Amino acid sequence: MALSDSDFIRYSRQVLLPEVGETGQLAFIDSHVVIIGVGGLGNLAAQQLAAAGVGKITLVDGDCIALSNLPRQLLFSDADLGYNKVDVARRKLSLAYPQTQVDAVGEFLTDDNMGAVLGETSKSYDLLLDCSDNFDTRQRINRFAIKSELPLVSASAAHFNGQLLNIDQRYNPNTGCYHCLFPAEMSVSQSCQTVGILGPMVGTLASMQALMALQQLLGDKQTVGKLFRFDGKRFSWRELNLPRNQACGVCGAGEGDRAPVLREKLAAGLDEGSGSGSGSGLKQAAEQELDLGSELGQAGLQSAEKDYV
Amino acid sequence: MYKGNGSVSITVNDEVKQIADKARLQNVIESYCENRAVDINSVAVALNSEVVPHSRWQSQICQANDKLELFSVVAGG
Repeated sequence: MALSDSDFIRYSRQVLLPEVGETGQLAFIDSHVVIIGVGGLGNLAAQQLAAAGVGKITLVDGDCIALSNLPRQLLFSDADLGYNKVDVARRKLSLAYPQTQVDAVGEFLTDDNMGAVLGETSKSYDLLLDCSDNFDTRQRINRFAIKSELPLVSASAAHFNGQLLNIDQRYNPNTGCYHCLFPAEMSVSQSCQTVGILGPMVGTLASMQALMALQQLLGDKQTVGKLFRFDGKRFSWRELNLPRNQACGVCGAGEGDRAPVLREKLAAGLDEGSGSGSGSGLKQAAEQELDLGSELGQAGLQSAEKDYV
Repeated sequence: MYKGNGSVSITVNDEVKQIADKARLQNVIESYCENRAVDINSVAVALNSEVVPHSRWQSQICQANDKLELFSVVAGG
């Protein structure tokens, strides 16, 4: 398969990048990304991915467009008020980027419908984007991603704080999931409804999320297992390592025993290590995980941050 | 409250703090949250740029020059 002349010109500035090239562009075209939440994050992330040539995007959101959405959900305008977000987003994205197939699922994710909405065809997905606006849904998406062994790029924004997390335990089983970072029993008070948000703040996180998504689709795994925190007042990014918590209720060794899966991968000699700089790769990571009792140690790096806690 | 003999310096969210040498991470977090009226159940913690799960707060010992970050869930989008 090769790019058409028209696509070659359309995506020429992307193809020009050695990291993308024709092969990478074809990978975008061949990809299926599921975006859960079509608010401030989902609007822009979907547009960025469609514009970049991602072949198929499924949008999931049961919400309708409200007046207070318009300052940051830029696909929508006054004429769209009251309509379902996924229907309007699908219509506008399909018009602007006809080369992308956009599917719309006009439902909120619940424990009851998650299997029906996402489960049946999960094998056809390449990547999940968490663009949701509440903690419960974020936990739900994470559980689905871990269970389905799908990579997940999770972004969030409220007030002047943003968080971006790349979860891919299929690539590196020693890295954490959303629940390793924020267990479901934690208390949460920050949401856009209660603390407010500026459009560019959520747009920043959506763009970073889309960038991370494209790099994932290219097979660049440098950010797997890392949490990036953005302070929109000080314009600073902080990077943290998120090791897998062996006691995690979602991905921990105690539940859904992954050891047999990892042993299979080891036996198969899989090593998906790319130019991440860590040089670890799946095989090494699996070996480390199977080394029972090897609780991940403390790294001796540096960084600190003032935050709103 | 961490003053006295055998104290060491660490930073918590960029602020320099004196804590008892070999203080437990749990105690440092409790003190920080108490002083700022923050619900301890709402914070995640990173020590020297690595997230430390709640289950290890009690056993983790702090050392001089440690850099602690406490932050909350951001769930909006």
